[in-house]
Amino acid sequence: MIKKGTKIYIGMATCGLAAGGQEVYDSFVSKLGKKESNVQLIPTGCIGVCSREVIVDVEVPGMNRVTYEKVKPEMVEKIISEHLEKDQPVNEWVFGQSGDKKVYPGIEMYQDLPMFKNQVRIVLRNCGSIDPDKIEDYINAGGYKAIKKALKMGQSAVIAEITKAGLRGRGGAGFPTGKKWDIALQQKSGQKYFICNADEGDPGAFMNRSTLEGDPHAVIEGLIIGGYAIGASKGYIYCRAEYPLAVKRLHLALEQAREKGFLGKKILGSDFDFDITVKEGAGAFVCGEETALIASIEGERGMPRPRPPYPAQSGLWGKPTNINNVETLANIPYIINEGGEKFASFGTEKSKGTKVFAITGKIKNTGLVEVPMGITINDMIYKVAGGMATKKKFKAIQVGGPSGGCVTAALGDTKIDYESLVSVGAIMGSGGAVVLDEGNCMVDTARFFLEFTKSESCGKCAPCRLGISQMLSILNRICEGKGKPEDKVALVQIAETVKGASLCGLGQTSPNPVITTLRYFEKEYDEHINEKKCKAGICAELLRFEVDETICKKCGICVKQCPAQAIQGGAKTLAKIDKSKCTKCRKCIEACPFCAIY
Amino acid sequence: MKNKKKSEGKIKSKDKCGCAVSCESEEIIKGFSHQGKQYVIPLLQKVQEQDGYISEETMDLVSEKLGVPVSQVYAITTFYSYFRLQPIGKHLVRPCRGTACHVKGSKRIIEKIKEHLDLKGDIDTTADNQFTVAPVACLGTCGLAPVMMIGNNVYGNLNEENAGKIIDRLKS
Repeated sequence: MIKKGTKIYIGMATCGLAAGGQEVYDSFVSKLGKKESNVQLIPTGCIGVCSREVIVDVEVPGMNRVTYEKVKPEMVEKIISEHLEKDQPVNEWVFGQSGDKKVYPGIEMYQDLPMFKNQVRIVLRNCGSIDPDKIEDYINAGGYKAIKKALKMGQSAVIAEITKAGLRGRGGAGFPTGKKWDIALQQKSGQKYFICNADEGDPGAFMNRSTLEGDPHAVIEGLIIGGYAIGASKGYIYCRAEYPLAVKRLHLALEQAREKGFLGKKILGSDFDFDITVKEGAGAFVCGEETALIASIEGERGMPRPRPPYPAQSGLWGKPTNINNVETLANIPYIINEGGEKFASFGTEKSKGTKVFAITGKIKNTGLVEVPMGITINDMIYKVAGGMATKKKFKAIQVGGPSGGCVTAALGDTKIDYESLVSVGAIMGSGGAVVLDEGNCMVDTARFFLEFTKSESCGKCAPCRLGISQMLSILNRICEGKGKPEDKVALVQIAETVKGASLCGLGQTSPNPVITTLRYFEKEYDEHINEKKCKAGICAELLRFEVDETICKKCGICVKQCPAQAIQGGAKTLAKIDKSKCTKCRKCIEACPFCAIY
Repeated sequence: MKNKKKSEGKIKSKDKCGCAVSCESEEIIKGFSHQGKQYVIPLLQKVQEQDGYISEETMDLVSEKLGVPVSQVYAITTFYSYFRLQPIGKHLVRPCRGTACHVKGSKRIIEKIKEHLDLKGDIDTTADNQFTVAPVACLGTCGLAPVMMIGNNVYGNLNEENAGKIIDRLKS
């Protein structure tokens, strides 16, 4: 017997769908058949453990919510017959349970799992637990209370609360949000605009996508409150077109908010009119820069212009405009509901609250995490993300995308807050964190980011347009084994010029990957230039398929991995590659835990 | 999915009645109720969703409809990487070039995919017009890296072997 009111939540954000969420959903529908009337199937957003999708939560009435990981359609039948019918979870597939107290023996409580224990979920509070397509779910979770409260508080009091919270812009630069709103409020104009920047272009970052897909109403509510606070009547959400699901959910959420009277004329009986339009981006990274974004909404080529005047004075169509990132806005309802003081109790002195990171790369739990500001890099990697997934050692973490930097593993105790990250050469950025191991080449990593910024440079100012190209051609040369000793000096000189003279943030920060890799991994540059070696085994032109006998630990792993039986050695003897047999498939390079083959 | 089905029919419909752009797109443009520069990008997006690319004729029609000089429509079309100026194959394969995918070997996977489809150099569409391979900066599905998008579906945890197999399954 399946109890009436049993709920099944299926992870169906982009990650969940890519892992087969739709097939699992369909399987539940067909396997449940007539019994379905007792069960509610709820598609939900992402709880952040992308590597374990498809995630399915089962909640039998009166019992704890149990989370299954890596669910495949063929597992559905057993979940129904054991868990739904007999209330006996299939422990071997379970990831954790959540509720007030432990109900099912043998299953860890969510809050005791290391990956959740060290997180504080404010922005992601509803992601993965509500149905993003239902406004009722958001309202039941306490949604749209903050806008009611804000309308009673008055504009200045709302801004004062945000200032008290110490919230800083989560798009990366960290400008105090309260101050930004206050400047916008002071502008005297009949028409003001409020824009939500959802043009998440950083390669390796998807915090905003997950937030929009998992809890679109939180962002919309934040945007309405912001619009009210500065006196705007029109809002825009500028979202990447590469996020079709986020765009779809936004449209639906806006429609629902209009029906409920949270948008439109005289919102909730007040004198405040506000409506929101979704604008889809068209694949230009530079449009994340605020003046370029404004140009894009106006229908121009998305090129930045010099500031001042700042958008707060003259923005969209020359009117005062405030721009905030998705994550900044998702924090707003929480701050209004819980108070600025509560928010400020998380984090460090200068960086309050939490930060969402898309943590990916060579770690076990790739996905989305929300950590209190001030957590160390090591804690984020080893406690929250479960440590390294490969046998190779942690080498560096790249924070902040193409504008950020590579921080060496030796600085793992660095705190994650705006100032500390800048002091080690990186930036907070929007929250992309890619973990690299000894099998990643740092020169190649710097080259990768420059390839990106080169293709995304809008070309308006010369330092960015020409400087990045020059740096990239030098890096290409080094990676191809044609590097010259003077290349390092040239790189530094060009990097300084581009940093100092570029018009907008894209150009000014583009040399960061070069500067930080040179700072922390100069030896690797020297090996590439002088010895023509890429010890990580990445730069194709430098691959020799030789064993470094000083590093080889005679473990024999490469011998087993080689499909061509080209490697001899193993226990007690050094590995040796027979070049006449080697097919250059790279399996040995990838398998060696010590990076002894290059 | 919807997207894919639409684009399947596009080349035929264009041939059938000999319109300068596909009939559906012409309808989209003619039926568009706004005017002015700010609508250039949204309208071009709608047409591309239909046709898979922006033709010269599309730019002319959009310019006329919105009252924006064609030179500016061209400027916008060429600035944004989302817009394509060449027709695409039946399936648009978009392997991700994001950081997370890069550190997990996406470069070699893309090479394999192109090799698999016999695409050499700058050629991005197969001779039988079945597949177009156009890498994308980041799909934001880094947790499942390396990934690629085909139509509106995202495929994760790719490697040099399975990428080709996924594509083979779509071959008709």
